[in-house]
Amino acid sequence: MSRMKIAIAGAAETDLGALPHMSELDLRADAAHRALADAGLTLADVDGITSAVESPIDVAHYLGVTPTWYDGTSVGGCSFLVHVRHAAAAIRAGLCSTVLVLHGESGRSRVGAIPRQRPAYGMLGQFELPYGAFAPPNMFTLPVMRYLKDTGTTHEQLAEVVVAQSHWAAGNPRASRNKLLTVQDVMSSPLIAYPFHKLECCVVTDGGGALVITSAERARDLRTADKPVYLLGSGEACDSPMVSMMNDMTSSKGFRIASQAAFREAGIRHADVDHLMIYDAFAHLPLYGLEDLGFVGRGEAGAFIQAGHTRPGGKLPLNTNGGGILYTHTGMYGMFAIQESVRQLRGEAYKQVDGVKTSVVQGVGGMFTAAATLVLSNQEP
Amino acid sequence: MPAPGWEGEVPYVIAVVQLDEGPRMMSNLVGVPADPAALELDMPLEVTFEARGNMMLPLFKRAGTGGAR
Repeated sequence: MSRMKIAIAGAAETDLGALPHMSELDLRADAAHRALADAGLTLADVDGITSAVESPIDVAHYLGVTPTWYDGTSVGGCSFLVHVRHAAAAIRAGLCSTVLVLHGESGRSRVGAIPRQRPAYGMLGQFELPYGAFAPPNMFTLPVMRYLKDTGTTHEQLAEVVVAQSHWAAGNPRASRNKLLTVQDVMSSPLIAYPFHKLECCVVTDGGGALVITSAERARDLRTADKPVYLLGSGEACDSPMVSMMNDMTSSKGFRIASQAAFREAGIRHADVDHLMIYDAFAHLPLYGLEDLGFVGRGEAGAFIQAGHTRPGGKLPLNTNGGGILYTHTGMYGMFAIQESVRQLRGEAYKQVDGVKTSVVQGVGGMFTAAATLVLSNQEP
Repeated sequence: MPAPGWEGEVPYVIAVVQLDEGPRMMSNLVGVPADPAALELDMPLEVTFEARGNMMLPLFKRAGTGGAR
């Protein structure tokens, strides 16, 4: 008996940017309606729902849905990649048939946003917060000093990550930062937490997105039947809950384990990957991602990006929406990385890459704490 | 970018310190300028205890630079 094939049959983003008139629940509801409309479905068709931070039951109630399966896995920005993976497993197990993977976050305006707690009794409260390590700009970035020293990667190469992505975001009216940037632009922007300048840190926005996950067989009867996106493989993994306790400060254990599982399940090799998204809350993440996913050797990512290989026309198009640094970042960016992969696979991207058949999405959650990978394709497995 | 309560301390130095005894820990470097040029990786450190609120915290200074601040 062959395994059930899984598809993303609906995908949509809300407006992005500063949306002070919308709460987080509003953003989720708006995203849900848009993704369902994309698939030609309604809330009445939904029997599974996922949500990070906010309880999936709260969200289901707000939408007027009574799901028979739900998942509230909340491991930071890659939660939505994990949700897609879990939804695929649930559909294959017969627990549900049509899952809404939902994200909405008022990261900028903070309307109806649930405060992030760092209680004194927790690991972070005991072992990191007392030293003034409080927010991603001075936590997530901490390992990079060791990475730069051990690999010989330069500060200019770190800035090149942003420059390369600006070639994708340039002119896109949906991108928060849509101007072409130079290394000089990046390095002369204000210092946020050494060695990271403002343009090496993600934007902070409001927005949402949603996906409709179902069987490939059911997807053939839906509105998006002529532009299918299949889930070929996925992986999830973790490292330390504290960045200071990472297994290795220069490499993400989570990236390695999750991506290897996803590639193995999908039966793909690196040469099969036409398009890549690596969650970039900060500029060092694509460097870690390229190396930990095995696209380049140890210490080679900076030079690889500097050589232009990830820009438009390059051999490995990377973060083609401009990434979290330039396109949008609500706080949990993973949903938007998936959305860009779906657009590229459908041929609907703002800066479309020619002939994309296989796209890989690498997500991260917390400060390298969680990781998840999706392998997506427009070719039926 | 300061944590709440740290606004007057900017810039401050967060470091991950490898202890001779084996464990690694997050801490702050004190008694050094918060200047990347003065903060080479792998420099030898020694512990110094400092009161912060109602806590005594193990902080670190460059080895051989005398008593606690």
